[in-house]
Amino acid sequence: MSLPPIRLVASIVAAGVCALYAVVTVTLGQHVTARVAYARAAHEALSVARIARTGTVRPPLTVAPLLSMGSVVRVRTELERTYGRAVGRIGVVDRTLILGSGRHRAVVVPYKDADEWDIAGAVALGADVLRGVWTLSLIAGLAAMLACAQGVLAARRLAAGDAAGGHLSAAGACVALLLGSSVVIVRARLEILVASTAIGAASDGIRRLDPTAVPLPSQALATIGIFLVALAAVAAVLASVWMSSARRGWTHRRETWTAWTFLAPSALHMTVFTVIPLLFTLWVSFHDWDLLRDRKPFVGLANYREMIADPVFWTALKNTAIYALYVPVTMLLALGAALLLNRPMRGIRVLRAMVFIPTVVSFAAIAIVWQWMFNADYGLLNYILRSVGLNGVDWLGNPSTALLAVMIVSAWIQIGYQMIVYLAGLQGIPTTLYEAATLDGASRWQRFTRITVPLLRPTSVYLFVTGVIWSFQVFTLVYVMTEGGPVHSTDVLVYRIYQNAWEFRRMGYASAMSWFLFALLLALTITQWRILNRRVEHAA
Amino acid sequence: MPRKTAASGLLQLGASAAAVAFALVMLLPFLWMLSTSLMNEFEVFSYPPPLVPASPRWQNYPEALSAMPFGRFFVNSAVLALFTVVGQVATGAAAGYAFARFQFAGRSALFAGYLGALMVPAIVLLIPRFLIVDALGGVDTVAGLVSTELVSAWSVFMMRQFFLALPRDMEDAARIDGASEWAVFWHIALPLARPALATLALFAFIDAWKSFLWPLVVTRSMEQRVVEVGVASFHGLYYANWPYQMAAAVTALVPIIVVFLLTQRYFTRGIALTGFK
Repeated sequence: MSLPPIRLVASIVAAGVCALYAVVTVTLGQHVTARVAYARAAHEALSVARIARTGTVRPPLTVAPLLSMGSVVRVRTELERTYGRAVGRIGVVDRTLILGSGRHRAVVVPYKDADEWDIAGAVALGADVLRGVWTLSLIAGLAAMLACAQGVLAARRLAAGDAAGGHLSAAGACVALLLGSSVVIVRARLEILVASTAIGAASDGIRRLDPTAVPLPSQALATIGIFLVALAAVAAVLASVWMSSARRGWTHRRETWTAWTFLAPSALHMTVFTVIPLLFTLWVSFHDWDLLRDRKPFVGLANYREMIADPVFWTALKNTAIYALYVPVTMLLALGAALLLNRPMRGIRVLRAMVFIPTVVSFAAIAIVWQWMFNADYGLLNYILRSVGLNGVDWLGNPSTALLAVMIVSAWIQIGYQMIVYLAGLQGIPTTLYEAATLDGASRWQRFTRITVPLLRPTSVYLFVTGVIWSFQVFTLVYVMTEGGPVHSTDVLVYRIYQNAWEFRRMGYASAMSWFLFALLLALTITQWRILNRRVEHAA
Repeated sequence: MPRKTAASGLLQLGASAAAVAFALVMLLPFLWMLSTSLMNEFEVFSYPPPLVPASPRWQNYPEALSAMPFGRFFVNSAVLALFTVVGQVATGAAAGYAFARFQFAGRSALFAGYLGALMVPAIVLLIPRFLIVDALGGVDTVAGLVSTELVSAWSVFMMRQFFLALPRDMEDAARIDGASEWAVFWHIALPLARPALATLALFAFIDAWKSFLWPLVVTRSMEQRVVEVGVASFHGLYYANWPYQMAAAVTALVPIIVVFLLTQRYFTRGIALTGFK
């Protein structure tokens, strides 16, 4: 009797796992969709309650036990048992009431008794999105693991010539897959049933409502669709990797498998929180995307056109570019500090630490301290200026000095970091070079300009480009110290993006600007690579 | 050549003095902050500004800190930092090890992807990450706050560089003795990587503690704010009371400065080791 080849068994198991995965993905998607609709119904009910403001409906039951009952059907049965008679659905004229706040918000839908007169009870719908998904995932995961284990066992037994045991294990794998998927499907169906009943109950109360007037908790469907596509993409990548490793033999496959298990957490996270967002924000930038409105119409390039026509955007871009000028100035200071602190001296480590501290501390607190330093009447800075005979300046109140003030703080923060990098660079220069130059009669200045500066050039290029990239992302200082003012004099790109997205609720426009910023920074990074690579080629 | 030595000695002395003066100037805002934090509410509005408080008013601290739930802020920041450190160290070590040690299908493509992610500035991801976390119901929750910070391409890259430089003799020996890949990683490679892991954890901690924009947008209620954002909103609330604000700033800065002073040598070494932060 010929044994089924190991590869065939492995493929069957792999196909089964993929099928289970697909089932889980689809049912999870349905489940999540239902949950979102459920939450939306709850939110709309909340709006009804706000608009109607009756306040006369008193639910006879408290929210917590209702929530713990979970399903509408069971709550209704419970009510009927309590009141000893049938309860009817809520009518159009009745109101929906909201209890609780924050994450534990619940909608309470009043139920009338049989003669449609008294309020007999209430049904609470928890607006708790995604509850229960974890159980589903757990079941699916356990089934998949069981199936995999059985599949491996089957392969091993078949390889060892134990045909009966192999077939038994293969059958076990199939059973595990079947059971797993059916449990998942049944459970998801039940959840969806419950959710749709709940939505029916809640939406009865909102017929008179203008849907466009209802702010929603979130625009979820598109995002969740993308999330699922991401998962599917990861699965596809894994499958193709698996297939392509087939021709290189079993050990290579095993190594691939091991490597991917090491990589899976970070790769999945990268997909969901880096790759997808990058594309998603491009998608958002083509829409008029208001977080609180249900409709997010496609507007094409309108956001980009508006950006180009927006004078405030250009002001912000100009300010950001001017702000970046602090980088070269700080580099000069940092080089000076590095030279000063690159000598054997008692307490040198303490001094270096003192210079480095501003780099590690948090920006918000620092920004507050500096705002006090810059105070026009009572600040330390103006006191020092006046005591040496100069006039005080209204640093943050004057449009012509506010950006300069922010640049001063940034210089103060960055100088320690740049100094440490320069110190590392200085210590990498062989002392023999200096000794040889001294023997040849080179002066201190000549040694500096002919040896130190050229050999530090890669360090300088690195510091300059990363500094500029960093400076294009300045936010906290501006947010705390000036809020972009006075009259947009410290308005920078990231502050523009933040304000548009979270204060003006214009996510689409903000996304367009962030894509512009991304392109800009990408160009800078590529330039940096070019410069550094050219340097390396020259050196080689 | 006695004259030249004297001149050189003088130059050395001058340089030392300049170094000390420079370091003191750098420290000035901190000293001014400490001094103001102990002043009377009205004492600060006098000219010339008093450099030290007439009589230190220690009550500023309890008063300022009880005006907002600062204890809660610190817990939130600590939770964020803890998850960030654990997440980034764990995933960074595992992924970096895989890239450095295994020949597997999809390696170069995946690594190119990680390098690409390294170049994406955080601000570009801010809006979509917020929308995704919002869609998953994570806005204003701890889970939403920490979820995006668990992995960084930077930590993967750094750990890969470290493992590439690490000799693999001991791992091979363990493999010959029949250890599984996970055992080799867990019992051999990770203990050897301890210094790199410490540096990575330190940088992750500082970054998490300093992060501002993401916690600002993803948290809404006072109970979910982190220290950084809390201090900023305190600033908006007690705008005219500088001693209170300085007391809050001191409180926010103390933990991170203590951490820095305790781990100072890791910093310099980390910057040198990783080819800059």
